Amino acid sequence: MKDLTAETDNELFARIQSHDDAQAFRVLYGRYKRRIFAYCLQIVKDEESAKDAFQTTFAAVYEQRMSYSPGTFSAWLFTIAKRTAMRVWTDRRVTSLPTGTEPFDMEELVDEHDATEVDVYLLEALRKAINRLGPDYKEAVELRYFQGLAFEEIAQTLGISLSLAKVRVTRAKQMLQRLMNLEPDDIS
Amino acid sequence: MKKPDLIDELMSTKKLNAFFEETERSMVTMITAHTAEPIARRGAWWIVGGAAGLALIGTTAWMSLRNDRPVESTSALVVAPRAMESVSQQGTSPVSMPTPKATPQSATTPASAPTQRPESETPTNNDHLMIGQADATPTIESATLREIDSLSSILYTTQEPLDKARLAYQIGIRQRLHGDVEAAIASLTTARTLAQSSHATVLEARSLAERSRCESKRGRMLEARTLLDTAIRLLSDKDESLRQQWRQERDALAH
Repeated sequence: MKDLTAETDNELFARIQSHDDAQAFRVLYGRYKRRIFAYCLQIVKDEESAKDAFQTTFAAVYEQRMSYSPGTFSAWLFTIAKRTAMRVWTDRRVTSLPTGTEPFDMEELVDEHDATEVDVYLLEALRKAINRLGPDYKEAVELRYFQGLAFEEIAQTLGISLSLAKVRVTRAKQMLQRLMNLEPDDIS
Repeated sequence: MKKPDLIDELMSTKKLNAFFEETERSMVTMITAHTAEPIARRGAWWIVGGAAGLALIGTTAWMSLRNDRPVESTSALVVAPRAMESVSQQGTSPVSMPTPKATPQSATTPASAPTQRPESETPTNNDHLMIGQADATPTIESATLREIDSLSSILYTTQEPLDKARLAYQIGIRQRLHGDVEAAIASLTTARTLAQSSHATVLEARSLAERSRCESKRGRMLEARTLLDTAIRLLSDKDESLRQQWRQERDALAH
């Protein structure tokens, strides 16, 4: 089987358009699944609705594949995700919102990104969540994910043990997951 | 060393990973079925042709040996009994569109789905096939994987979004009856999206109601209830907008 991982989004999508290449779909899906899910989650604010929006997004991408003409694939994908998630959100708004979630401001999303910065809203939501962490956890996250330091380097920088550095990053991630309306894994 | 991606790591819980895999599987099945179908159909014609030829030779040979015994049927020609059965159930005129019967229900769920066809749906050439399939499978026993496969094959030769929606809905029901709840949810989500984009409100509501059954089957009662709420609201909104429209028409007539 040919390795498609080096191909660009447009090359992969052209394969899907021309001959329904499932392998190309897998690669594209792998590239975007988590980001699209996170994006949907930030719009609809509950995990189940985000799953609904996520599946609908990818089904729509395949359904509408012929309507895509080479451009910025990610912008097209995020636009579909945004519309879908908003629709799901609108449907759910009337029925039930999980306790503790504020109603989402639809206006906030309308012109919030251009074609090159497709998930700016997601990054902003992440930034807001990070800002709500305690200073120790925030620092650990900054060093690990924004400075790209290894756990040993984090431990050295903060003057803590290696295991404590790992624990801080793990706990910070769990807090962020909760702040982003996602149920973290149980870690005893 | 490449910087780890925070969003990727946050969106990597066990539950989510299972969900991503399940969705990927459903999507790949859908794409593969689309690709494989034309080849399979060509192959099927060769088989039909070959079987017909063999049956003819066999019949001739048999009759020449046993002149006293008339040949009653050439059953070898019946390649797809269920498909033939579904077409024959539609009566002699495939052009007339029969009202679809109630949705096949599992033994544990009450048969309460509305029976009328969504008024915004337009009849198409594929209707007789889909409705026939639905009629032929009212029980859990007959909701087989084979049937799901055959419906999937039809799905990917169908171009009209509304026809696709109906087929995805039928596939979803069968997957639920078969116990493949995750796949059923994926199919019903597709059905709902397509119905939504085709403005087929009743079909959209039905897809939601079926998804609600899937959710309740896996113990997610709150989710199931929310889905039913949405389905009920969709139908009420539609009713209300129709009532409003007709009131206006009536009032205009009164003047």
